[in-house]
Order: sequence, then C-alpha cells, then structure tokens
Amino acid sequence: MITYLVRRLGYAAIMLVLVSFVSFLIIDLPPGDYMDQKLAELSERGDRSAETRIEEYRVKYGLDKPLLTRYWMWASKFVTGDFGESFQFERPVKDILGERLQMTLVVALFATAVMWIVAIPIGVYSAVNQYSLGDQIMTAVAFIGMGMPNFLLALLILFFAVVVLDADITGLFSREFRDAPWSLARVWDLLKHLWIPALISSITGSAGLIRIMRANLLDTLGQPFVEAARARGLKNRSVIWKHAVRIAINPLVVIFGSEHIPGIINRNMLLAYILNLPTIGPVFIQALTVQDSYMAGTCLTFLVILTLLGNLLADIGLAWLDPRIRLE
Amino acid sequence: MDTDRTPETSDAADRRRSESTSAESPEEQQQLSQSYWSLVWWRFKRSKAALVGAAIVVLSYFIGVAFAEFFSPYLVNQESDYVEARPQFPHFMDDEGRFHLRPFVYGLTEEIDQELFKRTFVPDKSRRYPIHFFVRGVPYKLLGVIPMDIHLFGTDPNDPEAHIYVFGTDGLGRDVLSRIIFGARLSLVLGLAGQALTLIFGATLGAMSGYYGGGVDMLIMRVTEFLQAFPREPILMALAAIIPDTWNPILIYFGLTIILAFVYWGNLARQVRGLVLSLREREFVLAAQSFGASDRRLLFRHLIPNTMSHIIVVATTMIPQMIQSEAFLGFLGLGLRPPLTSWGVLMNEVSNVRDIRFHPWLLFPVPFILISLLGFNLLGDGLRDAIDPYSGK
Amino acid sequence: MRKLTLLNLLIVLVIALAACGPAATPTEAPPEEAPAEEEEPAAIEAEEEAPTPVPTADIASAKESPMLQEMVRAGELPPLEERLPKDVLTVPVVESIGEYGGTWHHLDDAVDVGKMKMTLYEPPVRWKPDYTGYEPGLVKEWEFEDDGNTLILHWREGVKWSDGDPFDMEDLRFWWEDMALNEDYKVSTVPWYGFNTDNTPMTVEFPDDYTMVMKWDSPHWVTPYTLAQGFWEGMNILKPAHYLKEFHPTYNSDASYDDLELADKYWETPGYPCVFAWCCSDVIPGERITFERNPYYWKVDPEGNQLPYIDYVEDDIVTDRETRILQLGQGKYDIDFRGSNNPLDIPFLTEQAEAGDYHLQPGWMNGAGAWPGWIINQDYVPDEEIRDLLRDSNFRKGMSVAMDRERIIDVAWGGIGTPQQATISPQSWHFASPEGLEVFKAWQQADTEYDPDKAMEYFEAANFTDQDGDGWRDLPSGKPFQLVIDMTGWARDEIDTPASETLKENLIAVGVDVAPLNMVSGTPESSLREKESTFMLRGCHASEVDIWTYPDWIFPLRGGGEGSRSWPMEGKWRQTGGAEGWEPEPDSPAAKLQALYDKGMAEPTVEGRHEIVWEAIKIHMEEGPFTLGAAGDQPMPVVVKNNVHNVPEFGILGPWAPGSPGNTNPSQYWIEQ
Repeated sequence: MITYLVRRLGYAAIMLVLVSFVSFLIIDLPPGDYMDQKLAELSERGDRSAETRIEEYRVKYGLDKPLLTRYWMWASKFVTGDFGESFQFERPVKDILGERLQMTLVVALFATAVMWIVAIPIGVYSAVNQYSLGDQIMTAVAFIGMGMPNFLLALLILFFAVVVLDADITGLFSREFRDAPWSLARVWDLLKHLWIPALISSITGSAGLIRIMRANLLDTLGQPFVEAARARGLKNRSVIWKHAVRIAINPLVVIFGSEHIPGIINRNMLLAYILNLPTIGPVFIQALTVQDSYMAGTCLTFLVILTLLGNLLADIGLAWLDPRIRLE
Repeated sequence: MDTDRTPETSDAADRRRSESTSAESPEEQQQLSQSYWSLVWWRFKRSKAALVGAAIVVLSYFIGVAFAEFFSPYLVNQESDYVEARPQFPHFMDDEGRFHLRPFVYGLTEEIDQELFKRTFVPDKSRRYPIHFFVRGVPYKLLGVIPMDIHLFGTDPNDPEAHIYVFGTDGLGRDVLSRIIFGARLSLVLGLAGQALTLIFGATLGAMSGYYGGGVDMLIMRVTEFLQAFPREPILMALAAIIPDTWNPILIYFGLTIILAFVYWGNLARQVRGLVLSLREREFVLAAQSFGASDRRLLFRHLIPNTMSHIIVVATTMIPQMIQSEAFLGFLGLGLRPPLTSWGVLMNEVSNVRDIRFHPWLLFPVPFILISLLGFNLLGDGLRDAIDPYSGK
Repeated sequence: MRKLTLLNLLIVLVIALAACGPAATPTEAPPEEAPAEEEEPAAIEAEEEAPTPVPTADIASAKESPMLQEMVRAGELPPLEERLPKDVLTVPVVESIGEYGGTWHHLDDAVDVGKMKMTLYEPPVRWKPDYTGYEPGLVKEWEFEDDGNTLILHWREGVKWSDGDPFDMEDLRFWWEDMALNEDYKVSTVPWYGFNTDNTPMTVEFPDDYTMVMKWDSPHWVTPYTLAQGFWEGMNILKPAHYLKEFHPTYNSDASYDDLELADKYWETPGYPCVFAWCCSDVIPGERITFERNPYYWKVDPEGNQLPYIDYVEDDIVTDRETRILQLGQGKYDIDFRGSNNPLDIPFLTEQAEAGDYHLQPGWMNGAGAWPGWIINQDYVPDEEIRDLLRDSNFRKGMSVAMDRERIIDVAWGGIGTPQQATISPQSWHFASPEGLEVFKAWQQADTEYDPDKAMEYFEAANFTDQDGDGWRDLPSGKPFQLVIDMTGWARDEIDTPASETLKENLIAVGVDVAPLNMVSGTPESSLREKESTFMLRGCHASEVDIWTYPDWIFPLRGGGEGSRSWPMEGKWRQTGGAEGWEPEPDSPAAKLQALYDKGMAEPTVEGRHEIVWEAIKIHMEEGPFTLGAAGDQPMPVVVKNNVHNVPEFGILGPWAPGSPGNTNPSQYWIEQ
C-alpha cells in the first residue's frame, strides 16, 4: 500500500509538471497576449498614452521573454506559494483565489449534494423497473438534461427567473446581506440564491449519474448472488438496497473522485460566469479568454491537482470497498 | 456531458472489467456468430427506447446529412428582406372558417412598434400562400452531384412574392428551419468524423497497448493518463482558441475534428486495452500465433473485431458528447463560426436576451438537438444492453 | 407602406439629430470664447461658467449634507467654510435643487471599472455638458504667451484633497519631476503632448502655489483641451504627493517603485486621497467598489449647497453582458449609461421599464459618424497595382454607391437608422455653426446614393473592368483581383458582421470579386502591428467630437498600430519623423492633410481651427471617401430610475474622449428618498 501510494504520488508530481507546462504553452499559443487586449481597450477609448504604458507592463510581467523562461519563473515561485500576479486584477493570484475559495466550496458541495440526492433513487428505480414506462420517461428526461448545453439552459432559466419571477439572480446574496455577519437570515438568503445554480446544475449533471447508476445496478442485479439472496427469502427491497446498490454504487466512487473533486472548480464554470457567482469558475473562464497567463495557468494546475488527487482517492476508495480489486 | 463516463477511469477498474467479460470466450462467440448477432438483434428489439433511438439517428442522418437540400425549402445562407420574421405556421382553416385541402401560410408584412422602437414582420391575413409539395424551388446538387430543384415542400414557384418560413427567420432573413436542417449536417458529420478519428486512433493504440504490454503499454497508458489529467472544457477552449480566425472554414472544421479526437481518444483506448487484455490469452489467439500469424494480422483480423461490439457502444455514446462540445465551443465563439452553420453556431446566435425575448423562434434548434442527442443515447444504451449478456433480468 | 413608415422615422431622426446638435441650453448665459478671441488673439483667456463663483463671504452660509454635519459636530471634520476653497465652483442644476442622501447603484463591466471612471473624474479642463466647447475644471483659467509656445495654467486656490491636505503645485511638481520625468519609474511617463519638436520633454515651471507654466518650442494651442479628454489625460497628472511620497523611493528609502505602483491606484485603493465627488472607500476585488462622499469637494449648487447630493456610489462588476441587461431590466441600478452600450437593447429595456420603475433617458446618442464603417487602405504594401486601384477615387466612389445602405440598416439595425457616409460625430463642435452644419451635411451625403449603374461607370473610369471574361473585374493591367474585407476584434459583432456580408454581396453584384470575410486574429493593435498595411478594407466604428485632440480620423499622423487609419505608412512616416514609412507625395491627400494639421496646430483661434477642419473635410469629400460608411448615429439606452433627478437629456456615449457622463456634472444628480 505504501509503495503504491508513493508510486502514485511520484507519477502525479511528474504529471503535474508536464501538464502545467503544456497548459502554459496552450494558453500562450493564440497570437498576441493580454497586453494587446488591454491596449486595444485603452486606445478604443482614445487613450493616446496607452502604448508606452503597455510596453512597460509587458516588461514588468516578463511577457517579452520566451515561454520557457516565463514558465520557469512562475513554476519556481508556485512551489513556494506565490502564484504570480493576475494581469486583469493587478493583484496576486493567491489573494483572488483565496477570497473565492469559500463560496466555491459551498456552491460545489450544495450542487453535488442535490445532484446525488436526485440521481441515486431515480437511477435505482430505473434499473429495477427496466423498460417500464417510468424508466423510459426517466431515461428520456435524463438524456434531455444531458443533451441540453447547460449555458443555454442557464440563459433560459435566468430569463424566466428574471422576467417572469422577478428573482434576484446574480451573486449569492441580496444587497442587504452581502456584508452582513453570518446569521440564520443570511443562510436563508444564500439558499434562495443557490436554488438556481443548483437547479441548473442538477438537471444537467444528474442525468449522467442516473444512467450510470442504472447501468451498474442492472449489471449487479444480473449477478448470481442476487438470485441467491432472493432464493433465500430476503425481501426484494432489502436485496436491492442493502446488497445490490451497495455493490453497484462502488464504481460511482470513481465518478465522485475523478469528476466531482476536480468539479469543484470545473463543473458549472460557465454557469457561474453567467450568474456572476463569486467562485473561481468565472475568474478562470475570463482568464482563459483574455490570456491572463498566470491566473489561467494557476487555475489549470489546481484543477489538475484536484483531478489527480481525485483519481487517487477514487482508486483507493474503490479498492477499499471492493475486495476483489487489488492495487498494483 | 462529463459524467457520461463508464467506470473505466483507473487501472483497478480496468482490471475488474476485463475479468468480468471473459466469461464467454470469443471462440464460442465465433461459433455462435450467426445466432449471437440475431440474439443481439432480438434483445435490441425488445427495448422500444432503443428502437426509437435508432429511428431518430437514422432519420437525422437521412434528412440532415444526405438530403438536406431536398427537405429544406431554402438554402442555408439564403437571405431575404423578411428579417427576424415570425414563424408562418401552416393552416388548414382560414379566418372565414373555410377549410382548404391544401394547407397554406399567411404572408408577412412589416410592422413597426413605435413604443418599443422595434420593427417586426407579422402575418398578413390578406395574403395566403398555399403550400406545394415536391415543388420546384432553389436549384441544388443532390448529394453534391445530381443537379435537382425539387424540394419536399415550398410555395408556388410561379409566385415570386410567396415565401414560407415555417420557423421564422433570423437577423439576415434566413429561414430557421432550413438552417436547422443544414446545421444538422455539420454537427452530425462532425460528430461522426470526430468519432471515427477517435475510433481509429483510440482503438488501434488501445489494442496495441493491451496486446504488446510491457513498454508499449506503459507508454501509451501514461500518455492517455496525461491527456486525461487535463480538464476537458478548459482544454477545449484553449485548443480551439489556437485555431486562427484567419483559416478558411473548411480548415477550421478539420482542425476542430482533430481537436475533438485528441481530447476524447484516451478514454476509448483504455477500454479497448482492457478488452484486449482479456482476449489476449484466449486459445484462439494462441492458435493463430502457432499458425504463424503476424502481430498485425492478429490485431486487426482477430482482436479488434472481437472488441468491435463494445467499441460501437462506446462510440455511439461519445458522439453526443462531441456534438455538445461543438455546441459549447460555438457558444463561446470558438470552433465553427459563420458562414459555417452548425447547431452550435445556431445556439450561439440566439444566446442573448434580445433574441430570446423578441425572436424566441430562434430557439427551435434546441428541441431538434435534444431529440437527436436523445436518439444517440438511446441507441447506445440499447446496444449496450443488447450486447452485454449479463444485463438485467 | 413599408418604405413610408421607415422614411418617416428617418426624417424624424435626421431632424432630431440636427436639433439636438450643438445648441446652447437655456440654463447658460455663456460668455463664449469666440468674442474674446476676436478682440485679443494673442492671449486667450478661458472664462468662467456663469453664474460667477460664490464669493468667499458667502461660503460661510453654504450648506452641507446631514451626513457631514454629523461628523463636524462630532469633531471629526473641520467646518464647511474651512473645507471649501476660495475658488469654489458653482454648478448649475439641470432640473432642480436636490436633496441630500441616497446611494447610487452603478453597473460596470470589467475589473478596471472604466465606466465608473468616466463618471467620477475631475479634469483640469472639462467638456461643457452641452458639448459646445470647453470650460474650466480644476484649472480656473489659462492663457498663452509666446505665440502659443507657453501655456500658463491657473489652478483653483484652496482646493483640498479628500483627507484635508491642500492641493497645490507641489502635487503637480511631484508628478512631473518624481514620476513622469523619472526614468526609473516606468508606469508614469511624459504625456504625448509634452514633447518639443526635437523630442525632448517640455519645460514645466511652478512660479507659485497655484500656477503652472508649460513651455515648448512650438505652439500648443490645443493642449488645454487635450487635458479634458476622457478621464485619463487629466487624471494621469493629478497625484496626491503627500500620500504617495511615502511609497516613493526618493522620499522613503524603504519603499520601492513596485510599492508606488500598487499605491497609485486611486480608483481601487480605499482611502486614497482624491478630488472627485466621491472617493473610494471599499473594494471587493472583482465584485464591487464603494465610493463615499468627499467632504472636501470644491463645488456647490446655485443655492450654495455643497455637492454632491448623493452620499454613496456602489459600483457592481458584472462581466456577462446578458446578465447586465437582465439586471438593468429589473431596475436594480439607479443610473446607468453604458451597461448595455447597444441600441439594439432599447426595445427590451423599454418594455421592462414600467416593471423596473425606470425610464430610458431621451436624448442620449452614440455620436457615431460611421456605425458600421470600413477604412480603405491607401498605403497597401504587398502590391503596387492594387495600391493604385485603392488610391483611385473612382474606385472608392464606385464602392460607395454600390453599397445598399438601406439593406445594411435592415440587417444590422433592425431597420432603424440613417444611411450616411462615414463622418465624425454629428454633435462635434466643429459643426456647431450654420456653416459647419452645411459642411457636415454635405459630407454626410457624399456618394451615398444606391446606384449600381453609377458604380459601374465609376469602375469603368478607373479602368477596373472584366478583361478576361470570367465575370469578375480585373486590375487595369489585366491581373485578376479579389477584394478582402477585414473584420478585426474592433468591429466584429452583431452589427458589423451582417453589414460586411451585405457589402460583400453588393460588390459582388457589380462584378467585384470579394473573398469571404477575413477575420483578423487577435486584437486590432496586435494584428495591425503584424500586418498593418496589408489590409484593403477594414471594419470600424468612427466617432470623434474634437478632431484636434484626437486627429486620427481626419489627419494621417500615426501608423503602425494605435491611431492608424487610411494611411498607415504615410502616418508612420510622420510619426517617426521620417525614419520609417513612406513620405507622402506632393499634392497627395495625405500630404495636404498633414499640412493642414500643421496649419491647424499653429492657428490660435478656435473658429480658425474649425475652418481648417472644414477644409480637410472637403478633401475627404472630393478625393474620398477614405472611409466608407453605411449608417451613422443611433440612440443609446440610458437607464434612469424614476426617482432620480438632474440627469440631462442630451449626451454622447460613443467616443470616450468627451468623458461622458462625467462632463454632465454627476455631482448634481440626486435621488428622491
């Protein structure tokens, strides 16, 4: 076990370096850089002194140096906890991400919880009543959820919420509660704002979970031990929930690890951007779009760390849950 | 979109899967090959959902890809003066209560809303355009070769004023229905092409990895791990941003196909590897080897075909992901752009408050996309249920 | 019936344009500059806006907001008479004297809160709220000596920073010597108008606490106006020396220039001393910036109440455009000028107005001279023959009359707009006089008829005919030719793309082979740097209100990136002093325009300079067009809640140079509680 862990961590470290370098490369590939955009903005406004200032900024951020140098500068500081500075915000990346971390976790946790609470029972129902009308309807709805791009869904729901319901959509708090100390009222306000992203997220996200739950449970229900349990007179419900589901759910552990952990940042990025939530997602998208290299690079690296971590946890979890699997 | 991964994302899970499918030997499969496939077909038929899925997919390709020009009354970029016009729904009964055997649509007339400072086109009950079927319309080349000008439906060819925009028009006066049909062509073909490329790449590498084992296996697996460590959407964004705007549309299209394949092949490779691992030790392989079969022959004539059924299932379920990736990129303004028209492009065009509020008919592509994605998923699901002998009761 | 209603709208629009042009508003009794100049051409004096400043004695009876009264009573603030300056500025109110109180919820689109900056700033010299010219700001008067080589600025006396420290020439000296001239500090440099003809910096002297003397070796009649452009020119030179010295290595050996740069972000640093109506008090990065009233603000209303009326400004940052529009529709923001920035949103915002308890403020226009437009390159580098064709005015006029402007308005503007040639802003003060208006109208209508037959005649005259019989026109030598229209990041959106597609179709219809629209990668500046003079037609949006401060739309003075328009190479020649680029041939449009610019810069009177602009425009009309235009000005959606007062019913939002809405005195806006 220890050797396994050490090996995996070793791989992870190498992978991390490689991935972060390639990410940097990719982010930088489109022609031009952030400063060009800034310059365009400023000169569009008629600011004639912009060009000289921009050149100085370029030098300051090292944008005139070759890629490898820049990467090395950033990477060597990264390991010490200095993630560089964001061009857009002109502040350290660390500060910006740090401020948004709490809400990112809150939203991610809430949305994921809703997703699982919705998906598992439906998936089980679907599998147990395979090909029934209910199953087919659920399947269809699930596929619609998967098929609908969540940004379009977001825009439609947003439109509906604002124009029809006159809801306060953006951000996570109403004006009165924005700076208030934590209280029950504030939590309630937060929930009132969370329902939209949670709704959109669960529509698009649980679909996949439902299908996988269904498929796995079908696999499991077909196994001989299920027949045996039934033959021994155990109630069907007990067979399904206490035995089959517990086995079938194992692979979902993999999903949780490999997708929902990196999903803290990754999932619903676009959604958070549209709703202007104070999470890391919107900042990441913006950084990718305008080539804010250090910000985008840092976010990507963290995403990869979470992915590798998630995979590792998933594998360990799976091995722990299912004794048939041996790690090697 | 990204939870649609079968639980095949780590070494341990791979092992487990290869163990569970080894029960029925390919030998037996081959002996029963006739009845195996008819068994599969029988199981497939059992699920109405799967049949519906298959029907949708086939229809989509038939209408959208092969014969788009015939089914659409207009060309994909054919502009008109009727900008942002409301849908002209067909009627059988006119305002005076008269029933017409041949359905018709009302003409469009311009109306300016003085309060809102907006110009729209609304139905003009005084003009009726009967709908003709199998009518002469805009000339085109069927399948790119045969010159024709018959369309499934349209207006009277002798009336130059007549127009029929069943789902309304967009900002340039182009028919939405036609654009949906032509959009299907690009999206579906992109999905298929991307998947084909992924298949070729992924299956070959995966099989090689499983078969040769050792160093080759290590290398290929590390590469796929590396690729899969990247978060999909950001990488799609970053890669698509590299495609210069200056390329001509066809090149952009190909570039996008390659990017999609690049992002997705890893998953497939892993699965194929798992399957090949389980097949590798079978007697038929040893037998073929003792007959002096080369590695290549083994790989391509024996191993890969035996994994084909699983590959097809995976492939079918990945096509919708590709279509969605294209839509995602299109929404962000990356990937395909006008004058190319795909579903992603159509959705990008409508994704703003003004259009949703005043021209909601521009949202008509959405149900079409959903239905076709539904079709693919049902089909894939049905295939998987049918092929895997141990599913369900 | 269709054409008639559109025509009606067009007529209404044209009338509206002409009417809300530069007319003096009733609240002013302006002693304008024109009379003064005719009498004394040598020394130009700026005159104070009437009413005259409140004499010192009256300051004692001036009133302040309750919020500040509290603080004075608590001993936290000195009394009002000590806070107001000797040269207090009186601001006329648009509607009524206001009540104190309230928070202005404002909307911004990016982290650098550019839109807020356009509202808050206080320049030395300002654009008048009616755009007819300039008026004093922090500078109360100025004069020239030495035939315009020397500019003397007299700053207001007694103004204090928001922390009570006096504002005087020490602040400007600190900026000039310790920041601008300082080679080690890269972020602040000598401004572009601060150089002599030999590229050495100007001389700046400070004879007393409130006087600044700038000396060049050539006339700089326009510099006071330059200081009024946007928020950047003025703000770049106003630094609180007492605050920044702590971060400046010369004054504090522990500090570094990085510290200085970080500290110098007055918009985003809570507690940074400022001279605006509201100063930054809190920042939540990426989300919201809060400003609170400046107790030392140096303006009062006609009744002597210290401005501003509104206590706080909260600026929300919402990056997604559709979200912004939805929120505006909900009425979440009290006064917003650029949240949408797109006339196409007017129907939606109008519809939501009742539910949102706001109205769209009439009279606010974009100020566009060409929206959309296409710059025609006169200095095409890769091929000499193509360059000659592009330079042939017959070819350009042919393109202009081949364009179906009505159709472009149809697809780009939903059918609502005025066809016109590319000009600068209709509201420009160059067109204020009757004669100026004539010039503008002629320019607006030059070569705008839709006449494909005439286009073909023009092409014949240019020897641009189909010589090989393939259906496409060829170059005079017989070589085939394909026109390429560039869409840069500047111009690529829901308005410019359909417009360019239509132009393409129009040209194809008269036999010009046009390539598919060329999307130029990157931003205009980066793309320009790489292939600056390899474009043929480039999409654009043209607007400018004072051509002497930003000359690029008429005068070719720059090339190679920023400022490059129809003459990139000839502009570059001028910009680099002859080192790079092409020297304009004698009697070519570029040469004539550059000469006119020099003449203008040496002309001391405002009226005289207007006349030179007219001469330049005549060149654009006769030998042009050098920029094609399809349609012009459009109304802009300005959202004002129904309980807000004193927002004027006229403004220009397209060009940022006039610094709107900052020049409309936001300090006198007030919110009914």
